[in-house]
Amino acid sequence: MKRDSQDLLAGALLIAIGVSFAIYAQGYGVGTLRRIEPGLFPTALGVIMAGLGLILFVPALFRPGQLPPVEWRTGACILGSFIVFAIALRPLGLALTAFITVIIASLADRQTGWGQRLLLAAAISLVTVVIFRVGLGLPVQTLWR
Amino acid sequence: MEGLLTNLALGWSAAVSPTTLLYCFLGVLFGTIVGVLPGIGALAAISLLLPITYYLDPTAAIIMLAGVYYGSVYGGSTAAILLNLPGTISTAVTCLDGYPMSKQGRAGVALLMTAVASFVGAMIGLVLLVLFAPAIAEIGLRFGPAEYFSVMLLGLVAASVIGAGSPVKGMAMVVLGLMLGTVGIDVNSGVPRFIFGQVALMEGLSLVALAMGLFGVSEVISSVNKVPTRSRGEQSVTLRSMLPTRDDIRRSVLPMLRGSGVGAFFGMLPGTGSSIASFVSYAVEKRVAREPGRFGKGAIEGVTGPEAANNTAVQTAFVPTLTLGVPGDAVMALLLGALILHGIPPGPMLMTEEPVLFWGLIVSFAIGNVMLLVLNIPMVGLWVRLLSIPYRILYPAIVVFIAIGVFSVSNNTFDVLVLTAFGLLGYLMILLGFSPAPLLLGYVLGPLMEEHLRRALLLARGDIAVFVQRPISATLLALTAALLLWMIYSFIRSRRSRADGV
Repeated sequence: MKRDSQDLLAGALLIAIGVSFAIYAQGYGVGTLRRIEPGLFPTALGVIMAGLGLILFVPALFRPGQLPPVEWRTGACILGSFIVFAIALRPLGLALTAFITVIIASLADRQTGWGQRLLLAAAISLVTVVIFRVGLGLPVQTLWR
Repeated sequence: MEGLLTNLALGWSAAVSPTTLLYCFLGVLFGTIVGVLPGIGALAAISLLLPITYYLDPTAAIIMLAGVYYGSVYGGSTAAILLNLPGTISTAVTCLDGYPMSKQGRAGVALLMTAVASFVGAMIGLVLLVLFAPAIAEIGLRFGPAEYFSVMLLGLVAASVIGAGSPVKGMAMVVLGLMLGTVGIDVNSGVPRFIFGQVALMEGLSLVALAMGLFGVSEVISSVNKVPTRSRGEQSVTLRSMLPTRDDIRRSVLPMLRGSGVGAFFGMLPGTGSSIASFVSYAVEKRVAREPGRFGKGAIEGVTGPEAANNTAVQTAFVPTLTLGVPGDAVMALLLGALILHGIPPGPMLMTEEPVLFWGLIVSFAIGNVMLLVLNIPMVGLWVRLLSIPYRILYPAIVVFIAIGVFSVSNNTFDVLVLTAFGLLGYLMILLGFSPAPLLLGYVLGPLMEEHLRRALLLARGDIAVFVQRPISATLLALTAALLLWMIYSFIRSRRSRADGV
């Protein structure tokens, strides 16, 4: 690895975020020090971030480094389970949503068998309903309509 | 002195009520469990409990959350000693000499001495907290917006410079946190910023969703498939095996005191806290020891010093948080957010306007630490057994609890989507080598900083020199500049040595 791809990517990302933030903030008006407008603080932050990104990016061109391995499957399963939770909670109710969420989340671990998975999902949904619905009185339906 | 006794009596009456004692106990218990289990830290645990605290009265809520915090520091050392897996960042140092000690069959002694060192550190920190808080609140009363801005700036720079990883990355995280803090309706002008048409964002991003996403979710993503299924702790830990030798005690007294000193310094400095304190204490002990070669192989000083340091830091971190409203570290930032959500703005007026809360909290710290001593010495066997639950059973439960926790804050599934976004961001940050703690500090302080900046400039009619003309502000800015210079200096030094070394 001739270049430090980790810091290269990091620096580039920071520059991108900083610049786009600052540009978008122009829409709120920058004003002067005497009469500050909503866009001043965000613009300043964007500029500083872009600067930091540059400081990170340039030296990374000249030294080796690597990106750590990305856990695509794990990330997709976990993040996916949250998205499903958000979508399913209102229509399906707490119990079923918790069940599905556990199933999807547990897909991230390669060692769990389907039997264990279903058992785990049932157990956790039960505990969840008991703690949050019965115990704490969370204002969500337990079951689907 | 009399004033102090009256205050303590007031605190005692608040803290010793049955409900408060219960919540204190629940807090430290939960904190110990969370500290023992790798994969969840105090930050994740506190964010998870935040929604529940809405149902409680503010004093009980803060006592419980604080209990989680200092409880987790006690618990983290257990996992560090027995399994070489730090439960929290600040206990990473305890692995270095604690684990070798347990391999030598001295786990019991390590655990006991850790608990004792933690207790001593916490008590010293508590005394310092009581002594210094009124004085700092006094100074705080003279703070105008310029001073607040400068002290917050100092805190943020300190957080990025001294924290883990490259200072440039730390600073970038602070800036990102500040940026995220601007989302929502601008208080001064009423203009909604960065909401992209989402009504749910008008009050800003949910603190709980942000914290849980950055710390909890990303932690889970990186821990699955990596945390090994552990077998039970290799040795049984009996009470008898915990007795230290006279030599152990003799060797530990000074490290505990030195550690407390280090911890007090870093705890009170805004922006830094227990993690740095424990690292620095280890370095100090190694430097000061007569036989530095013993470190890394089971030197008890390497365990008692840092453990005292991180507990003192945890207690003294409350000083700037409560008296000035400037958090001592990321967890304090979260607690600060919690206080604000409960409608109790921290600051110099807190001591006078909410004496029950303040002194009740102080007394509960003392009670909580005693509870922890009990939980951590005789009950250690329980925690060891807890550690043998395989992570793959634990984490789906964690996922569900996080989701429900975030949802329940405003009964809004949008927040869960925000959580997902921050989970993704958090994982990305881990991959790219950024640490999320400075971001949290930036996020909580952002709106406050901006308001102080604008107010200071308004009062000075646009004259930016006001920040250096006022003496307290100038001193704080000078410290900030010194910190930045030190960072640049050590960066250049490391580059030069790397060039020479290669």
